[in-house]
Amino acid sequence: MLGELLKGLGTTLRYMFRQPVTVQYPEVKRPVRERFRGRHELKRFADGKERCIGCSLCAAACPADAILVVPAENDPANPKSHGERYAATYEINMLRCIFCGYCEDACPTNAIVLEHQYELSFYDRRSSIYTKEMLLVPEDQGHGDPPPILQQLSRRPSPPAQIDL
Amino acid sequence: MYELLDALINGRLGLGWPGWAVALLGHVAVATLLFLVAPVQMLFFTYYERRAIARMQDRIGPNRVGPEGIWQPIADGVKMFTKEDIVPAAADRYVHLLAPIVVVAPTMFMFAVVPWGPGMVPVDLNVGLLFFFAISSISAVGLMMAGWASNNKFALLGAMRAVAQMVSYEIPAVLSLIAIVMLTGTLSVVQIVAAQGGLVISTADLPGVPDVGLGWFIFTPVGLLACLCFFIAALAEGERTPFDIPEADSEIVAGYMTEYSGMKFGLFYLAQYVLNFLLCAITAVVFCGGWQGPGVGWLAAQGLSPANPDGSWVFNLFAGMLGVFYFLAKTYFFFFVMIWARGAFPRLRVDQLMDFGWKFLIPLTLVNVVSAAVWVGITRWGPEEGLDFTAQWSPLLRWGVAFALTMAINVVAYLTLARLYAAAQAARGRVDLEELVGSVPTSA
Repeated sequence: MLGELLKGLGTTLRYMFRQPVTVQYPEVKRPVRERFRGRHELKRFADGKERCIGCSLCAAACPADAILVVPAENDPANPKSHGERYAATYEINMLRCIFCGYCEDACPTNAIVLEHQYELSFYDRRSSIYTKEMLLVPEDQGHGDPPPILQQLSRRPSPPAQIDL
Repeated sequence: MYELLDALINGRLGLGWPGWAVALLGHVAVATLLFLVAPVQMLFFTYYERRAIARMQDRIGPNRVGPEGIWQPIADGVKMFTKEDIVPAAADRYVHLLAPIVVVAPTMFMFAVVPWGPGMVPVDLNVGLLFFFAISSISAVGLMMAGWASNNKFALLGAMRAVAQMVSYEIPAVLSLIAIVMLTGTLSVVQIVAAQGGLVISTADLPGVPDVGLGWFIFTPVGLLACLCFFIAALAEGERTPFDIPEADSEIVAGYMTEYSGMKFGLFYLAQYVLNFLLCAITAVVFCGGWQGPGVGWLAAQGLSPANPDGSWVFNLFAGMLGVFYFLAKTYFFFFVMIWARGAFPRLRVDQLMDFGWKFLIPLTLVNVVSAAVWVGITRWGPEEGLDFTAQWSPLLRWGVAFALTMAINVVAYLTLARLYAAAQAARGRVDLEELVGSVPTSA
């Protein structure tokens, strides 16, 4: 009887000297997978114009009714996007969003992409609404053809996330 | 403490206080000190346990509050204090209030006889060991009060289990201590520590052994078996895994603590950890020499004492510090073993607990008492007790014969009992299975 008990204790002691598997979250962030669906971003073309043309297809596709798009006519002298219209207001309620990615699929210009940011906590319900200014990427970032969603579709299923301790 | 204060107040300051006032002041000072030390030990133990068990489970454990999470217990304490104290409507209010007090008070009493270092014992009772265990069983009453007053079936069930367990496991605990009491011939904890000088062989058994404070009882077959049995019984007394069935959280929520919240719950928690500290401490004191260790005896001999009036107080200080260090190191080691067992073993069923206690531990400790008698007979007794044949033997031969004989008795007893116990458990398992399925097909 004593022998079995000591064997069990030995196993536990051996595990005590192994490296813990804990990821110290705020300091060490576990990388997400490539096709992870996190916070949305509104992309731009390489020339810096907005991809979004204010068609509201994303809002129509959204099963949680989280997206509000108010389109407006482009100023011909100074257009914000290619085409006639652009999104004057673009808001996503993050409390309603279920991160299903249907908006990505619906978007004809690949303007909206669910990116890897997942730290979306806030202190009051009002700040759960992300406005266009927050979602739109800066002018010098996020352009480029081919659009990210097509890039992702041509890829094989994403490999397991690499944990960097 | 009394002599020190007496020398200071009546000697140095010349205030001429009566003896009772000096004694009162001394006891109040010691009690205050202990009541400060006990919760600190408890706080440290909760942190120590969480960190150690986390490492055994490949985790890190609390490391956010303060450097390496050392202030985590303080944060937990603040949380406890600020929580609402809920008394169930159907509860017996006064008994519900009294129960945590009845549980905590005896554990604090038990500090009275624990020696921390050479000469550092609050009260040197000549029945210290008896006092320790007599007081410790009072908390079972408190547990029963808590379970009964909560008016909750889980609480009552937990209290019943706790009392049954404490009553059953006190017997092997006390029986294994009796073996040590037979070896030393005293119930005083201080004298039990004093009897453990030497080097592997105690100076009490073999005069002339160099005294480096390593003649612990755990180095003798009797003491080793007693230590194992006592420690297992202590796990049950302190409600530690694998004997934590009174508060088995997967079965009965939290046992007798189910209906307690806030600081009343905190008091139960405090009592439990202080009790665990004391059980580890008494294991260290009785079987592993307490404050005995290399250097303490020599330092204490150089210090100021009635026998050595021109010693230096610096040596007293160092002896005390080293003694407390050895004592705490041993105590923390035994608590580590408790955590270790928690990390390794699952919880026992109630019937397994009772079987193990009554059918295995108690017979084994009874045999150990016989071994202790053999040990005392061979090493101590002479013609005046009516034992002639050992008279011509040298002390070393006597020790060797006693060692071999008790070793043989204990090993044979252990092997026999282990086999009997395993057979009994297997037979019982078969009976259980037959009751469950009707009859076991013989062909299979």
